[in-house]
Amino acid sequence: MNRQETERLIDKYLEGATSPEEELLLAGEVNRPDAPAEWKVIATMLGTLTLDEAEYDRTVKSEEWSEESEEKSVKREEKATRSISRWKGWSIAASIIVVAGIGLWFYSQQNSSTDIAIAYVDGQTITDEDRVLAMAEDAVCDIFSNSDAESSLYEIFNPEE
Amino acid sequence: MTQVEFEHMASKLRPSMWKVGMDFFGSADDAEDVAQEALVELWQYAERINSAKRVEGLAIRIAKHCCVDMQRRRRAVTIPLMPTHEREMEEDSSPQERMEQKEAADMLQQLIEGLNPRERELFELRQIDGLSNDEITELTGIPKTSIQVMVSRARRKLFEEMKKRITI
Repeated sequence: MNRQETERLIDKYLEGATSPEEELLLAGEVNRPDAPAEWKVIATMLGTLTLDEAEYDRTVKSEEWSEESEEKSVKREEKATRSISRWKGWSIAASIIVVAGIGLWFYSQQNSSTDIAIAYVDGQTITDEDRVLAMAEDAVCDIFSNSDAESSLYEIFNPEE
Repeated sequence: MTQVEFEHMASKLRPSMWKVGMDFFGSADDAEDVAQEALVELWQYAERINSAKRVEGLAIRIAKHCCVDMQRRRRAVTIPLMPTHEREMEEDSSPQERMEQKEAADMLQQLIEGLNPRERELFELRQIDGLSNDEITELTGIPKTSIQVMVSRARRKLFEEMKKRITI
């Protein structure tokens, strides 16, 4: 309530036209420590019972308000905690999916990698799997059929000589 | 009102007064003190008590006053132990201000006694009992407009006189 409104209410009080509720409202204004002297006279005239009733109502209302806001803040905290838990859950799920995805990718890479057969024979590159296998078999047979395994191996790895 | 009548009425009013204390302090012990103190104070108004309707309203107002007064007294006990700057913030009014308020209240009481009986009665029904003009009409049978005029006259007289005495 501003000064003008208070002055208007004081006039209404002096006219005997205020309701008990308006007088309680007025009591809260004129009983302030910084109130002008004229207002202090009105405070005295309103009387201790009205001044204290106004203070009582104000205190109880503010306590109710603080209890309500406390309840609201508890609810907000609970909501935030629930939200954090949900985020945590999602993060864990996302991490599992990422790890599992990477694992699967490596696994599929390993499994999908086809065996490559390459043979270098007399300066030529042979990639035909059957031919390479046949040549390898021949080479192994040669090695084991030849008594001089060491020289056979030497021939295989040094074909130019 | 006799003491027996008052005691009979007090037993009915006590729960309402207790609830006022409970709502304010949130403690059953304090609520008990409020009810006790308020009943003692109400006895001082025994002369004013004529109808049941007024008594309950007055009892509630007195109980609320007792709550605020008890809290004020408790602060007065705890405040001296606090550091000066905190004390200044906590205190509603200084002892000098309280003394001035008391002097102003005594001065007003003297002036009220100087009003004519009808004006005095109506002024007090508004100031002490906290009744509205409609309730006073119901109680006294005086038309509402007449009540407003008489209350206004009483209030203006007191206001002008108080202003003069305070500024002198």
